Amino acid sequence: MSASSWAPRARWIALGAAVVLLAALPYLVASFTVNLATQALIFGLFALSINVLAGYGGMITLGQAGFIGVAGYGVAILTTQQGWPLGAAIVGALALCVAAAAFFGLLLVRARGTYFVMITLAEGMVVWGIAQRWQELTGGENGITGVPKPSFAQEYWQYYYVALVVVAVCTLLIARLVRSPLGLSLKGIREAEDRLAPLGYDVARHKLAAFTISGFFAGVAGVLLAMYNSFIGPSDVFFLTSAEGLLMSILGGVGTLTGAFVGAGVVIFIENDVSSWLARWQTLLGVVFVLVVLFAPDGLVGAWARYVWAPLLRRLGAGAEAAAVEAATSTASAAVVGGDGDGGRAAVTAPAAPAAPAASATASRPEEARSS
Amino acid sequence: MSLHEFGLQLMNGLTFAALLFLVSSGFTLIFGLMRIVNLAQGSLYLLGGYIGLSVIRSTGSFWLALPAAALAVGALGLIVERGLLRRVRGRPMSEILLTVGLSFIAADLALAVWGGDPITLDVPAAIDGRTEILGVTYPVYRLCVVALGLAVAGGLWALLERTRIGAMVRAGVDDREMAEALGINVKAVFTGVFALGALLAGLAGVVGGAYLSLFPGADTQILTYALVVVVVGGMGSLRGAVLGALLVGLIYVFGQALVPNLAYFVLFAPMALVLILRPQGLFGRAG
Amino acid sequence: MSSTSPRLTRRATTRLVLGVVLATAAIAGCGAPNDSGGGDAKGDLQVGTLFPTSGTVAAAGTDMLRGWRLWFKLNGSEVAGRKIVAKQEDTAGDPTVTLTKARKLVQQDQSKLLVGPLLANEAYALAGYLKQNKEIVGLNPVGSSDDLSQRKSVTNYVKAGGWVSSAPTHPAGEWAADKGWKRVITLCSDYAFGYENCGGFTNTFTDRGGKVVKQLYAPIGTSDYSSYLSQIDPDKVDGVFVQSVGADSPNFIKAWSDLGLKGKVPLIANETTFEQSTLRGIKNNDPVGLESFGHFAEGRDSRATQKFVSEFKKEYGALPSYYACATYTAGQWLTAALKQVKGDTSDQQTFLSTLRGIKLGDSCFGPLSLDRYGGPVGNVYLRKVVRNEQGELVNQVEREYRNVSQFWKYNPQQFLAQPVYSRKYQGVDWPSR
Repeated sequence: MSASSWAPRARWIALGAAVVLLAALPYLVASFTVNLATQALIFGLFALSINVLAGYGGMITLGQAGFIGVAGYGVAILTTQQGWPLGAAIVGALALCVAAAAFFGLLLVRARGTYFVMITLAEGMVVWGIAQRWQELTGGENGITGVPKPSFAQEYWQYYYVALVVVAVCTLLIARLVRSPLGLSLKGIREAEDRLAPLGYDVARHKLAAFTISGFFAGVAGVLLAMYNSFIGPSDVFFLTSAEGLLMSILGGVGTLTGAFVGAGVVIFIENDVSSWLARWQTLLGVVFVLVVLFAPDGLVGAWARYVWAPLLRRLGAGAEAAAVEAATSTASAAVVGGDGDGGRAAVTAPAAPAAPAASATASRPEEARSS
Repeated sequence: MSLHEFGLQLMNGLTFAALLFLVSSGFTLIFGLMRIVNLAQGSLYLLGGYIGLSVIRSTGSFWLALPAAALAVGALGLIVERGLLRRVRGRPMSEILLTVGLSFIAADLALAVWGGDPITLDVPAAIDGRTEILGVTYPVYRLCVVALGLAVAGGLWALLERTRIGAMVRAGVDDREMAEALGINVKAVFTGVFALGALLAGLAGVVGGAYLSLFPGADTQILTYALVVVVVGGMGSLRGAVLGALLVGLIYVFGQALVPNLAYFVLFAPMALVLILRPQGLFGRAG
Repeated sequence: MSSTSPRLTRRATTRLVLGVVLATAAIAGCGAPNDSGGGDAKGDLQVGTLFPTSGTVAAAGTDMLRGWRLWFKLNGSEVAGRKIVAKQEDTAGDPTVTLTKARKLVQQDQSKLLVGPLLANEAYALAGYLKQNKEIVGLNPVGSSDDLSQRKSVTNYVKAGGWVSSAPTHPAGEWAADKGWKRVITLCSDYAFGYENCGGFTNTFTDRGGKVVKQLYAPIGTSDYSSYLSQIDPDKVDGVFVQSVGADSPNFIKAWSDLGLKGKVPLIANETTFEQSTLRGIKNNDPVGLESFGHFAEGRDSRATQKFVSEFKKEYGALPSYYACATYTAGQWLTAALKQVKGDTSDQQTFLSTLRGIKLGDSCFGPLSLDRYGGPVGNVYLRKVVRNEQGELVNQVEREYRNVSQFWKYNPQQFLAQPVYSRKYQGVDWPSR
């Protein structure tokens, strides 16, 4: 069996191991760690929704927490004030969230680059303003307590499984989306928005679709969060939450799926675990971000792929694999963080179809290609 | 609203506008030239105020604190630009992330050094009184703030329109590549502008810290206002910063008085309007 | 494991989802995971403190931590054969973080008792958690929300060393009426704590025939009070009642002087406006001579108060705020309760009823106990800010009101039949004359 054919098999084994680990977590670690894992899943989904826009669409958003607010408050208000059953409340809250995302998206379609960012910031803060000021509806600063959990998920470990399954399904939906025609057109928008319109693409419609879908998944995270805490408050909707979501996705690696969860895990770990013994944990958070920005712009996942996985593959003789991994990460990072923020003028190609990395790898590293 | 109250609120609005201008002018220059959204501008304001506090505590002189804080924060800006921002030039996400990360660090270290108690800087006795203006009794200090805002606006205008350096900056804003082609040391100009922006923020921190207070969270507060000012006025435009600051300052004050329930949203309303009707801001350039 | 791998085919994706779901169902079906239970009846008493030592209320939260630690430093942490072991977690002034940290203290550190937090929204969130986790006992020395000891009280959340927002402002309204004030403007923070403070004053003031001409509300985080104060016409009011909190207080104090209202318009404030954590940072004389109503006065002439103040100053180099006295008293309260049950906390009901039945003869606040609704009953002071011989700004007692409960002079049932003070309800037309 050639070296370059066990690599994909190894990846499957690793994936399988991860699945088993996640599924068995409550039986392996203490309850508090399971709770942290639940939070990491929820915020991982949140960061992933940001990834959809940023990593694949090149649109940076600083107001994503607004959707946590619409959906989270939606489910809280519908259950505690209107007396709806939980299932109906969740559906209602998500419908409201999609409507809000579409509405906000309409305001955004003409905006590019930094203006896009500013508008998302303002939109997020408007939702926060409503959460904080509209006392009768949202409880103002006090937020809303008593948000119910599903009847079959009352215990912390049961809720963990609910979150795990929901997040897994959402992640796979997003993975499909990224490879769909809409997803590919998003990459096109990221790279060369100006060139698409003359080609007949309705850029505005695609952006709107992307924004709405991304808002939907952020809303799912919001519903999960409100039920997890049995509480939702204005601080969940504040700019800081949006900023942290963006930071999580960039920390993990924009343009990757696992990156969102890696980033969420790291931030949640620092916020909860490290904060007990390090008073200056917020400084640490800032330092970590600065370091990632300077030295690992592909995020931790990209850095792992580039500096650990690829050399390992190469050492084990799977040269073509290694080159493919390197090509994938470098184009991902260049496409995402390249350009000058005005809609992306970098003319790099997207993480291409399977054929391309292998072809470029063969072209650039003929000596490795011969090894299989 | 009585005429007396109107006069008071007008003065309040102008004072706040002057402070906003000080913070936003740096922000807008940095963006205009370098396309960097400096989300650490609020932290620079806070640090300036705190540094001013330390200077006042050790020397007792407010007049010394002003330039000391401004220069210290300006120097900090210089170091940040040369050492860190330059490495991620042209990558907007990295720039944003870097400035946010730095603001986390700055805010936390400020808490460690100066504590969390809200602090107000002492105004020097010479300008601590009250005087009559426009028929209302108003604190002298606040009038000084307005005067300072005007002075800085004038100074910046003169710098940009009447000096060679200013011409270089304007050339860089207009067309970076062309400016470079003409032999302008764009990198040095960038550093200079960033340092200037930081200096203005630090100055604003001392000025603001004497009639508002400094506390953990003041950085996010002032940053939010500055963002609104700059979006309304137009990124990169000094005139825009002046007009934006005036609009936001007056709307903030009158909004609180006339429609207190909606005061918060009233602030974002002009921003929303501008973004829908003229997304580049009142004086910004299109595209 | 970069997922930009193109290898996930449709079939593989489906298999993956199925795999996760099946594995989950299989494992979950095995029953609940084994979880080490809570603390034991004897041995160390694990206590978790939830004080915000970062964020906008960092200063007050740090005082809470200091007050708590000071009590045990001076009185020892071994009580009735139990060693009290406390672990502090920072809530950052955020209710979501409060919940996370509460879970951590309970699940990871085996805490049996939780103390704190500070803000009303944090306290409500914790109350929600305690309601679902009856085996944990909560002490609430600072969260003063009226309803936490009225309509929304939770049995295992005890206001030990605590207070009620509107309790000190009820006497303020009568005091103002006694002074002959007829027309008043109130200025409070635009959230529950503000409404409760203004509500207490407005309720009693209007009962005496006074008229609240205008009610101004400033959102928390107001940097510039001038736009509110400019609406106050000295010729049209007899006095102003103000409540401000945290970083807003020094802003208010400055603007009050700057705009020339000090000395021109009589002012009466709530506790948090002239709180030591605010006064500590002020070097000029803007607050001097200004009066307020509160349940703590660091200048109170009593052994308990002065001992606390001097020890705090010795240990931390600053005068204590009421936040510090609150947690110090919580330590005192817990100690008293433990002594009464002789260290045996195994019976939750007994321990709780003991906690609720504690009566402190004196504390840094004064005498303190709880009514049958769980609301603290104690002293309220009319205080005045003065500069003492050491040059510090302190609150001196002008008048003492004894045995003030959360219902003031009202009938509790009738009081509770009304809604909690809010923006809409300030007790203006109640009780009807």
